[in-house]
Amino acid sequence: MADNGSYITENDEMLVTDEALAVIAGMAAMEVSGVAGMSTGFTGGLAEVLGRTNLAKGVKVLSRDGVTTVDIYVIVKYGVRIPEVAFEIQEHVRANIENQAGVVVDAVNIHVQGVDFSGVKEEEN
Amino acid sequence: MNFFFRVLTAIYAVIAAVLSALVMISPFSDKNLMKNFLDWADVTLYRSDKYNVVVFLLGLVLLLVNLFILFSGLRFKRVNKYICFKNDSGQVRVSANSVESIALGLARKSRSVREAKSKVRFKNETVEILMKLSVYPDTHVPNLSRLLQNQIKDAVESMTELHVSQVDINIEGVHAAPADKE
Repeated sequence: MADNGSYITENDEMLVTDEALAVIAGMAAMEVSGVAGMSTGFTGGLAEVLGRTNLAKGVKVLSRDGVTTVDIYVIVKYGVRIPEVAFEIQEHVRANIENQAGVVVDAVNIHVQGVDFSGVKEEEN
Repeated sequence: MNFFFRVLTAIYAVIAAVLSALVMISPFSDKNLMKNFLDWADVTLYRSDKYNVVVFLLGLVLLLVNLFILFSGLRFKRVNKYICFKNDSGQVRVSANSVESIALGLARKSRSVREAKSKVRFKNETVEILMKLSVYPDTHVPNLSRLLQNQIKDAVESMTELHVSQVDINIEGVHAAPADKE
């Protein structure tokens, strides 16, 4: 991570760290309907067991040379159209980061890691 | 895993077994035995040009086999674990795991299915799904398969907008335990 993981906006006054962007992105992603939750990798799950609540769960922000990419690892609900949900997450995350932090996001990559079936009723066969 | 690879692994296992047996025996065996063997090896193998070549070739073959196994081990990891589409805002990657869980969720909803496993492969923008099921008795397997194949194909296609080229169903067992689900 360049610039100590920090970020210089166009005013050259405010620094926003990647971690802060990740929290904004994580909260924005959870707001999109069709998202069941964020997917943590093994280490994330471990941190949660140890009692660290992590708002930036399932989000990776990388800013390098003024280019910011956000990677979001989600679990979607059963029955949703993944391309549509993914697009909504991308737009929502991008808008929230740009509004709240004033940082221009170059790419939001969505990684659909799983599908959540809870809340789907059993059927007769 | 192809046949050739299996043969290589078998050869390797044998070599490893012999070596480990030798190591296990060596502390208890007669010192002279080892010494005699080393002397014999010294005389026959290292003092004659003919055997030099043989020993060198043997080592070379073993080295090549070693490298082959090492690299094939690395290659196996590079299975397509996700499928990727791009749009203006970035990439969307759908993992094989998520398609697997769609298929699994559908299979488990069925009353006649006791256990289900699923495996997904992405091949040129299409999805291949393999389901391994064990079912309860009194299941009409052809009906169940047809139903599941259609359900899975429809669900995966509508959710991911990818083309499902095939849904294979393997019935791995019929379980005698009566269906506990009501």
